[in-house]
Amino acid sequence: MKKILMVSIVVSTLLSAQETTQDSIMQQLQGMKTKSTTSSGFMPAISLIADVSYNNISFDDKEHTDHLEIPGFIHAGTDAHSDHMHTPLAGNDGFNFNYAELGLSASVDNYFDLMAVFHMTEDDFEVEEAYATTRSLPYHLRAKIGKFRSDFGYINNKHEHNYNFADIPLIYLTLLGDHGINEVGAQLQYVLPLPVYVMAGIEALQGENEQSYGIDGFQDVDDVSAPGLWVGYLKTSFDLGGGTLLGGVSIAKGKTRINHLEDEHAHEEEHEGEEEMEEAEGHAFAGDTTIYGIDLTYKKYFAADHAITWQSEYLYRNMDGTQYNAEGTGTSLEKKQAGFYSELIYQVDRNWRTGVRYSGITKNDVSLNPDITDDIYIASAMVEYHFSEFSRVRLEYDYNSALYTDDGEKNNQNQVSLQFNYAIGAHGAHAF
Amino acid sequence: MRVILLFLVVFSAAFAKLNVGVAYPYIEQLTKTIAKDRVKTTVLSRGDWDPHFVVPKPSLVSKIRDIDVLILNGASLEMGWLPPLIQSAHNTKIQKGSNGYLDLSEYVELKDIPKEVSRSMGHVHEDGNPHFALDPHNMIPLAEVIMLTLSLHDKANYSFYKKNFESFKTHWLKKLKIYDAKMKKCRGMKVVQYHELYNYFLRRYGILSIDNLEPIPGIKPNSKHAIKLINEIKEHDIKLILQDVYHEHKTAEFIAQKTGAKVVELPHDVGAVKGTKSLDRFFDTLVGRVCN
Repeated sequence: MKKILMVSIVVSTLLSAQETTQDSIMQQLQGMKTKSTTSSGFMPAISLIADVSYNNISFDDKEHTDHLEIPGFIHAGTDAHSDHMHTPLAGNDGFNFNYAELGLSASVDNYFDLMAVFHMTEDDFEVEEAYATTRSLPYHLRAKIGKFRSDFGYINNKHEHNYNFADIPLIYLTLLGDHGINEVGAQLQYVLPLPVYVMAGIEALQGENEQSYGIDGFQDVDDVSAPGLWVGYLKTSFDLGGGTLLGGVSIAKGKTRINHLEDEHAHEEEHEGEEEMEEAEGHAFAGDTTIYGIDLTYKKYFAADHAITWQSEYLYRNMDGTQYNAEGTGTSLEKKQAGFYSELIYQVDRNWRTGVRYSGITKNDVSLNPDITDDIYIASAMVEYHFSEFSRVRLEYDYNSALYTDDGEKNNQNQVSLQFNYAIGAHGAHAF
Repeated sequence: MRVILLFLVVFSAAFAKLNVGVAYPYIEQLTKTIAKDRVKTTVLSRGDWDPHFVVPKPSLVSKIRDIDVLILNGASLEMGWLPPLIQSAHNTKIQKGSNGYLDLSEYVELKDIPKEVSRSMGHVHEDGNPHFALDPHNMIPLAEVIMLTLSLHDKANYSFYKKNFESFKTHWLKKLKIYDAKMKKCRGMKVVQYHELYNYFLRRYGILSIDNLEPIPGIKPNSKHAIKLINEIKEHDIKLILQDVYHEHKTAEFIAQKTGAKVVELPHDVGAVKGTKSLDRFFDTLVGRVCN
């Protein structure tokens, strides 16, 4: 008994001695600080980006420039005419105010950071992102909740001002729309305990994407119980040959409810003649859609402002379900579609960057239309001048060979654009 | 059996080691001086790189995933590259505000704090000039802060770290005496530099920096500004153009040719030029090249 008492006394004295050392070290450290307050205080970091361009657009066939479509992907008169889409179909000749992007971020408390990005066009205000991320989850986990751009693929989580060309690549535009997978939901990511970077992530999302997913039923088709979309991915990176390789595989699996019944009726009235009525007939689709993605990026830095980047992604979509017409008659429909983009960017120095991109469809199998074309692509070239880190001008040429008329004739579009981009406020870090 | 035991002992010992990540090579040197081989140190950049523009490679994420302490220069020097790495590493120990996040700039009297900040002035650091590691007199307080921080996480080695700090202090005070004596004869000398990289060093030794090759911070030299510099160099009879390793050298050489001033390439961090692998050699080189 005595022994135990002795031991416990010794242990507790030792422990308390350690405590004092800890406290005194802490005090010494605090005493050495020169700055007692920080300048930023409680103000969130604010940034604003404005993007304006001047476009010169011309078509091979000047007679048929309305109601152009990307066959099997984007129908004429639906998405192209809705306010939300600015597809390559919808670029205006002359001056365009592309967007303003307002970003706010700060720590909420010691548990969460909050980040919000507002995307504004001349008439629309949109919460593009507003999410909280955890700061202190154990086991190298991090969770995100709110509205955010999914980390599916490589380019999906990038904002427009980080694209190397004016538009999102064709395969993203056709399968996922302008903003890619941009949903309300939750995300969990884990960095694996390995000497190389390997990150695994899973996302549960509401599933409302104008091109591939949806939860609201129509006619006799039931609503989908949310979450309607699940996304998973595995990403890795390692240094190779003096550069860095970045690769990932992704999957997005969800329920699809696409309702174009209403949109088409409005459009129908504009048309005259039997043939066009048939073409523009309203339709809706219910089923399941899975999109697989592979991305590979190689970056080589010769100096901090002298680098070469090769970036490519391949996406494959399998859509399986039933297509309904206005009368509610269903026909089974399966789409197996795929495409890729590949871009090569050379950063000459702090001021100059230049690059090329090929963006095309490689597979377009639509069960209801076996003769549908897969000759769909856009080729682009650009050169950028950066006045500083915060302002740039980009001269871009696009040869758009993705658009078809109602009669199934291709109508190539040539576009030259001069795009100005300005950023003020908080200095965002450069994501890799 | 014994082998396994031995392995386990070694293994657990290796595991017990404090794992420290540092932003720049000079911090690595200070950390090693204090901790010797009792901590594992991982440096995230290289001495010959532009410290403002380290490439935030994902491979760096795996390097900081499991560190216990992150020591950074601070004063916004890492602003462009470190925050996304910290965010991606999911390491709770090194979040800003926690014990494992040591921002050295909080322990230094910062200079060149702008009275007014605007981007029209270029890439200015609103907290002040972050290149304080160029003043050899800052090394002792920085070493002490690192010693205390390591001790905070690794109390068992407190006396070891403290002892090493004391001997570094003794050694460095001798070095400072030598540097101060050597630099005395250059007091009042006038120079121009590329970027306001050497201000702390120059100010310490009473050397006047008349102008920079960059017209404003972060903006490349232009011909109009070069002409202004040529006139200034002639007017002030400036003998030295201080050139760092990571900016282009052409402008400096052109101006030197026009004026007769000499271009001298200076290290800005440990390992920036040949023969500067240690703190001693780094400051020896800096002192030797500016004032000989």
